[in-house]
Amino acid sequence: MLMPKRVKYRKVQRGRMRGMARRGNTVTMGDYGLQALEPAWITNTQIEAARVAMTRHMRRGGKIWIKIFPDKPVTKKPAEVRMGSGKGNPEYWVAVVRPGRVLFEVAGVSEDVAREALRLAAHKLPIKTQVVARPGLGGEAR
Amino acid sequence: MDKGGANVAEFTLTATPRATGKAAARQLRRQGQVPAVLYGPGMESQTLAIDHQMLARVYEQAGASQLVDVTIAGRDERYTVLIKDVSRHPVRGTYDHVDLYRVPMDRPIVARVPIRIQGRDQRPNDGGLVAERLHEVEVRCLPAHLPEAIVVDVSGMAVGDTLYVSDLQPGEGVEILDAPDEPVVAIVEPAAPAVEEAEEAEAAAETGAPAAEETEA
Repeated sequence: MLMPKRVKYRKVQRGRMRGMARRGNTVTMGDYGLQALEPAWITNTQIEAARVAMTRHMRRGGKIWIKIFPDKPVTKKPAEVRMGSGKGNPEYWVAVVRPGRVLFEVAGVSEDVAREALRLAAHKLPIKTQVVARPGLGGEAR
Repeated sequence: MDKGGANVAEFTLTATPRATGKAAARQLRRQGQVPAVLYGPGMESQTLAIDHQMLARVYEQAGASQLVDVTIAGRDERYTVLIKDVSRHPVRGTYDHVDLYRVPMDRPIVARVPIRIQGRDQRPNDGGLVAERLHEVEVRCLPAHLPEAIVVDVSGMAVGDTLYVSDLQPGEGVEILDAPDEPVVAIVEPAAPAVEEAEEAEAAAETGAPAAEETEA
């Protein structure tokens, strides 16, 4: 599961997710990508589930890039604990995603396989997404 | 008035002069126009507007590596340009702004040219994957020699083979500026599925509380 090896601070504030992804909003490494259309915190388990879904569909073919990393810790107070007594313990990790962000990329498979793999991955995520192709992707059909 | 020399461009754009400022630019975008700027050596930069559909059609074919003729409506002016930069909306993908660079026809220019892979289907059926490491290269040449794309034939490559920038043949008068030892395309062995499954099982067993330590300065 994706998580940082070491962090400077164990607990962080929640922050806001305003605006759109100003960086990481184009397909750069692969041929096709899955682009977020809504802002969300994507947990490391969701990223892993999406990766597994894509890997299983693509079997031996192709390559996958995960373009987001869950580097934000989310804390939670234990069940049945009264309010107060400080912030809860880190429970899981999330990637902060804003609309436009390319989440995953795939290459080395046909367009049909890539689109189906990304569709399966999208079902593991809590947001609306769309499949996008790399600008200038063309040349001969595979 | 011809500001671009002989008509060497295959594509044509028609632009109109526009007012500057963000309110005017937003108004143009609402009307299906794209704000543009035209600049180049030895000329004052000009602010223009281009029809969105026309720009999309031309940019899809010409990209940033082919010359385009720009005619300015209402003025008898024509320029040969490169589409140097486009800003697109992060989600909708529509064009927000475009930079047009007027190319000096008698001087070498630097441009990014796409790499086109050819001969995938003619490769021996050895199970290898064609991994594209580089999608475009930077070249320097006279505008008239600017290639549309650099074609790479992978039909003779076997698993383990790698083609580098130094192996590319860009054509006469074209110099590639990228590092010669940069890989362009490689034929790689696909990842074995058995390993993936084992990794999944391992990952499932590991699920628990986050393990990252704090290293407060």
